[in-house]
Amino acid sequence: MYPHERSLVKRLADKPFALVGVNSDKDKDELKKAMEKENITWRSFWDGGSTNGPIAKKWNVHGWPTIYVLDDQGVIRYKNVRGEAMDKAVDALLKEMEGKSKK
Amino acid sequence: MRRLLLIAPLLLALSPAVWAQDKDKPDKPDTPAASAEKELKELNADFNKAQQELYKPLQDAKSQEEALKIFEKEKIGEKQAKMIADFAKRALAIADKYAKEKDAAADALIWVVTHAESGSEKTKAIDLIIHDHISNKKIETTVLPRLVGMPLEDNEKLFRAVAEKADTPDRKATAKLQLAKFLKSKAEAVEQVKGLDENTKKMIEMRVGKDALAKIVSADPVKATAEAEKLFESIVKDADKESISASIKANAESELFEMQHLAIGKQAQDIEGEDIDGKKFKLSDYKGKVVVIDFWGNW
Repeated sequence: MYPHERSLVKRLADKPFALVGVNSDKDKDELKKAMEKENITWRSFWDGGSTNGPIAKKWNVHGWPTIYVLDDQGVIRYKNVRGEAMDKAVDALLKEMEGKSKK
Repeated sequence: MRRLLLIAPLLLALSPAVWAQDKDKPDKPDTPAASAEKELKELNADFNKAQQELYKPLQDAKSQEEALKIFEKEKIGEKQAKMIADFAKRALAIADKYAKEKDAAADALIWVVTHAESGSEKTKAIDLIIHDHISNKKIETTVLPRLVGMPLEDNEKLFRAVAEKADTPDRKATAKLQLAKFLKSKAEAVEQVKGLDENTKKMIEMRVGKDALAKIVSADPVKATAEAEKLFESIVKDADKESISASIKANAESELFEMQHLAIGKQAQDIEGEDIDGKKFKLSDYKGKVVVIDFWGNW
């Protein structure tokens, strides 16, 4: 999971793209250590230290990981795309953005 | 999850827990109801045996591709369709023979409906249930939950009939909830089936029938979604006027919220919170960028 996301973030570093996490871990210190070790550079919301946190609840998340992909207008465009499908989804939206700005 | 529902019956032997439950009951004298129950139990045992026999060649398959090859070579798809149709005919005969024993006849029809995906026997069983057994509690408690992820035409007829004919507010709300979920899965199935790999598609086609699968794909997802949303809305609205159990209302509300705020094409709700270091930030800070939201945990 992490290596894939790491490479996505790295590949799109100079594009209008962001990976935003919502983390449901229990122990913040453990998490910080793990993030350092795994070189997780993207920002995450801390969801109160449980899988029943307010954000996960509001988004009806019952399984982890759960993925949403939003376009530049904040509209939900893809759900639960993983691996290559995630890359494809993001690339398609970036391309769409470029298309719009040319017009 | 729903994708699994559509495929699961193919890959696993159907193991109907419903039928196993009655096994410990002591033998009753041979009333018509008892004979009917016995005949149905025998049918079920024979079916399980026949099914095991049929799937035997698949046991050695190491991959889905291999399984599909065996499937085709041994003509398991065709045999399966014929086997299910034969057993469905037998169950229909039991329902007919014991038509006066309402519960027993209903059980036999339920067997057909929960084992056959399509075909004339299934259509007939659904029509009979709608006509004679619509208020049988098992339809709501056992049958509909099992069919909710199988967006087939005959099933839809049953969901609609139950919703229409339910006789108390609570039953009506439950039936509407189930119909709405069925319609939601009908809408989702269109894209799901299109996205399946060829092998899985073939296996599903063998199970549900070519025509039935074509109908799943050609359904109008926008229309089905809109109707589902309206149903969820009306359940929530009615709940304020009539006594409907809180869990049904909560269920409808959560579905409605998901459709209105969490579905593809909807504006994402903002997230405001703190990051791991306690610094405040918002999802809307990223407007103008493509954003992947990743709900994750380091476990």
